[in-house]
Amino acid sequence: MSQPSVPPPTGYGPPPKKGHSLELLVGAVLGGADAVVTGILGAVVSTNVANGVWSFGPPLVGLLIPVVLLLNESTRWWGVGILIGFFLTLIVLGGACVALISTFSG
Amino acid sequence: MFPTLGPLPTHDVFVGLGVLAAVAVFVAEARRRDQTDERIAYVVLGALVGGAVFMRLGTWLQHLDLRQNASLTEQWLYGNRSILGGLFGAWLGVHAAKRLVGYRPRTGDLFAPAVALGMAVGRVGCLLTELPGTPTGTSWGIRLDPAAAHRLHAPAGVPLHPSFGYEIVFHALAFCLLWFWLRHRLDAPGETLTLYLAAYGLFRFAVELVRGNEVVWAGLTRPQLFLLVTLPLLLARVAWQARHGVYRRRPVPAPVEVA
Repeated sequence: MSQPSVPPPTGYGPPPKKGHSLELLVGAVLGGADAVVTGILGAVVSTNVANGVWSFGPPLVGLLIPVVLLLNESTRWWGVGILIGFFLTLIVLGGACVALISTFSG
Repeated sequence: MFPTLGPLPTHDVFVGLGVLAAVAVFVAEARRRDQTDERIAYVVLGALVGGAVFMRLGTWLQHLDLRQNASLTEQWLYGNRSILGGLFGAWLGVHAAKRLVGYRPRTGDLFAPAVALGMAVGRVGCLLTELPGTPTGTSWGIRLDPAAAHRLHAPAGVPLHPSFGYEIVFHALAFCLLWFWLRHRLDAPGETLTLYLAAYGLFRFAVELVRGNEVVWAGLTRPQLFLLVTLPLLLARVAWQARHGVYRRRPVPAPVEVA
């Protein structure tokens, strides 16, 4: 006679798969703030320095942070989220940088 | 014209609302199609990077004499934002991201309704802030007051084609077709985006005739010249796919009778 199958003990299965929605969502919000803040700093720099290339400095530094986060597996989803928020903000506020520079130029 | 809504810039407000609508549709469609692989986030990131970069730099090399073009810095900060450039960049970005992370399934069906709705909403910002179009004798033309006419370098009091209104209607109709019919009708993965972009390319080529953009060569505007190169490729692909039966519905198997 065959033994009736015994259900596996609970708590010993593979760990439930962890999603990354929270990191992506919070990261996107942080990325949006990152784009706005570094964009404003870039606009301030562009009005004080003759060479306009320097206005890219603050946004590039702001972009470097999530890129570094991408390199480590434990922080990768934060990096992806921040980058999504950063570039989404660049698209939404496409014309805002011109307005900012005009404002700071007086 | 309404350049601001209270303290907020009108154009950016509607682009933001369009992006929100597009995100909602994208997530809903991804869930419906059970395309919830986490690598989709990289694909979205690729689309955003490509879109953000090419929408700003897509109109950079406008002149054959390179000295007449703006510097990269000037173009990035002050240059035109181009929808066609953004769409092209997003398409490139998606393909690059998919290759980088090894994601093989087609994703066009997730993007098509999202982009259509996002454009329908985002274009409202253009309608309320930008030069509407060329003069028209129709009764639905938009008349600019002297201040708006001065800002947009357009004639005051003359009815102008609401070209962005035409685009809003196109994208809203496209979204309804995609959402309520085509996504349930097409079996071939990814093809709804191909069909939507081909239709938009044709429509945009036509609407440029009344948009009022600068005519640069042979009576054509820059978007028309861009479409003159890219649209035949897209249409050739649609024709090839149709010829090979990609758009035909798979027959539904007849129910098996059980004795």
